[in-house]
Amino acid sequence: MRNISIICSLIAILSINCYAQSELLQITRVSHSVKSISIPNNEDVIIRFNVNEACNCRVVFFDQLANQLRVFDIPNANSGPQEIRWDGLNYSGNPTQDEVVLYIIEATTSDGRNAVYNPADQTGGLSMKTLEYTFDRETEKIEYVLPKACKVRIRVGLKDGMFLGNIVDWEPQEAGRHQFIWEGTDSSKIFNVKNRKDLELQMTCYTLPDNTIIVNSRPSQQHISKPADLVNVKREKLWAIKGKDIHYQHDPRICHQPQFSITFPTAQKKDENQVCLSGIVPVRIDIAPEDFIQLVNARFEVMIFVDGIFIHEVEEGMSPFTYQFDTTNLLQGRHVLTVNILGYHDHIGVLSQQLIIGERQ
Amino acid sequence: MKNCRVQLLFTDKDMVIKILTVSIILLTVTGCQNGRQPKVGPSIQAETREAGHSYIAFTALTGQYWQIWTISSDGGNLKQITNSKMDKRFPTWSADHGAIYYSSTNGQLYCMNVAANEEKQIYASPERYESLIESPGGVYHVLVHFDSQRLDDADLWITAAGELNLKILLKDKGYQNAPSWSSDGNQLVYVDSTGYRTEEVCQLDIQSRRRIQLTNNNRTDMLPSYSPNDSRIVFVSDRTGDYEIWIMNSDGGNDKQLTESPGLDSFPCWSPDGNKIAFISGRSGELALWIMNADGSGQKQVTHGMQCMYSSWQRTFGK
Repeated sequence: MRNISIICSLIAILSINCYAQSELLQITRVSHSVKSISIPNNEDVIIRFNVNEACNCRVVFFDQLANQLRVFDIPNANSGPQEIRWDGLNYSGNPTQDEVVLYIIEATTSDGRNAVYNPADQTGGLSMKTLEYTFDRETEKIEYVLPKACKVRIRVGLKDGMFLGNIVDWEPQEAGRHQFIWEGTDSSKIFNVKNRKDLELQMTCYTLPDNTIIVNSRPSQQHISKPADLVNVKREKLWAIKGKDIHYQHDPRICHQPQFSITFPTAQKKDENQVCLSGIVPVRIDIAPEDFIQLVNARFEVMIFVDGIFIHEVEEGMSPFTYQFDTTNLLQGRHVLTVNILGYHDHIGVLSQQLIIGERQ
Repeated sequence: MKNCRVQLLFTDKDMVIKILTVSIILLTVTGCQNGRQPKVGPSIQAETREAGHSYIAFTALTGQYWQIWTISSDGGNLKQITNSKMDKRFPTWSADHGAIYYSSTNGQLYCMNVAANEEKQIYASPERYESLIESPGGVYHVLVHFDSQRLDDADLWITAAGELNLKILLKDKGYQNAPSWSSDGNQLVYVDSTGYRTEEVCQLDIQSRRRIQLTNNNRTDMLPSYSPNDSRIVFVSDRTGDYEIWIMNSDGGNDKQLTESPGLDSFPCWSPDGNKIAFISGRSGELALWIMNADGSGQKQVTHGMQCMYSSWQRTFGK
């Protein structure tokens, strides 16, 4: 009986000791003063958080490819509230070029215990499949509500037919109500499909991690594209991407509407917008160099439409791609040729060209 | 040097007689069995441009158009085969290796007589065809027919070689494409679209039209090809998130990844002896022709300084 008491006492002492040693260092009450900042407007963001004991704190900002942009150290921080202020600039004092920046908070005690705040795994890259939007054809207003900050694409197309381009091309947007005016034109400004019954708007979005700051550093949206070296494994070490929305898994540099050109090597060009064709003429499609590698790696299809009607498809696309266009069955006059480049990773390039079909040669 | 070799080969008269006798018997048997007169392409017996080497056909961007080129298995004898002003796609060798079939981007089929340097349109039609493959012995042609009215709809059609008598071989929902013959001509492997962005490798028995799905993973498995002894199938899959070359037994089991590199690895084809596989890879920064051992080892770039697509190695059926 006495032995049992001794054993119980030892267990109790050990338990108390273990509890004392494993007391958790915690980072809590994390918040950011704003979700978006505009560098041209000299805006900044304040990151606030609490630590439950004295420690060294560090806040690290990363771009979407996990490149470190800036580090803020708070050495020997007392327990309690902490804050840092970030102006959107990187180490070199230049505006960050990425629109989406993640911050990670690390805390380390003098005896080596540490804590990390990085909710990207749990909160980023979740597909938002059931979002509703409205398009009022009279006011030309598109409206929707995002329950969380997301990256958003709105694609225009005709039902069972051609795509007409992205009117929102993977823009990071804050949670809340969004509305904008769309006059109903395609990306080439040739078609107006606002009143077509077969018009389809397709909205696709995925959540941005809670620890995201949206940075507007450019007056107009430009894509940061790079032709090679699009494989980045470093990102996965910082936050999970597998099993998430397919576009969240992509290298962010490839998530946009691919660019390409249409040329008519043997045709007369009436002006910048119109080409005169007759007979059988080659139509050449060239993928832009910055999009070539990603499309080839993902594989792509080429679809060709005249006046919105499907005329040709090639499953295994290549660039340049030359199609012998037989115009002899078309009525003389104005027509529109539309080419869709469909990347198998769900990126679609769209371009239309006005044509004037002349007499048969 | 070449003449010397020829003279040496023909000094043994008995051997010559034996070879001729066997050849005549084989030709007679083949002709009787099939009851057909091959073929649409030129009947040039085995390509002998360089003794001891087999040739790989591929397309390469040449000026503004994709043209057919050939290269010998040791990487030598690079030669441009076509020169006409249109893009060429899916080159395949005729059974006797004297011709290369291919399609244009407009879906017209062509035959290039390699020795005569003569390009001819075949099966001319308003319909759209692609990926012509010739059966062992050059008896049949199977090709992919695309529906001109509907997106993503393609079927397999068959005809006796050279006869414009195309009949549906396989018509399922979606598309069936990229066929490849077994060495006995009794089966095809092909790709069937089973859903949005999913393609699976399937097998078709020509006589019974019985189909067996060999892969099943809701990813893209494509461009299958039987090994020369039909025991294995090389194919392309993106199941790792990137298009890589894979191999499996001809019953679909024991699949194994052969390549692992960022970017595209695709268009695999077997060497005639089944020991090597040629393929296209973008890993070096250009789409180049590569060759590796059939177990994935010894991967080596064969073409340099040119953008390449597709590959087709001369096949010797029945080995």
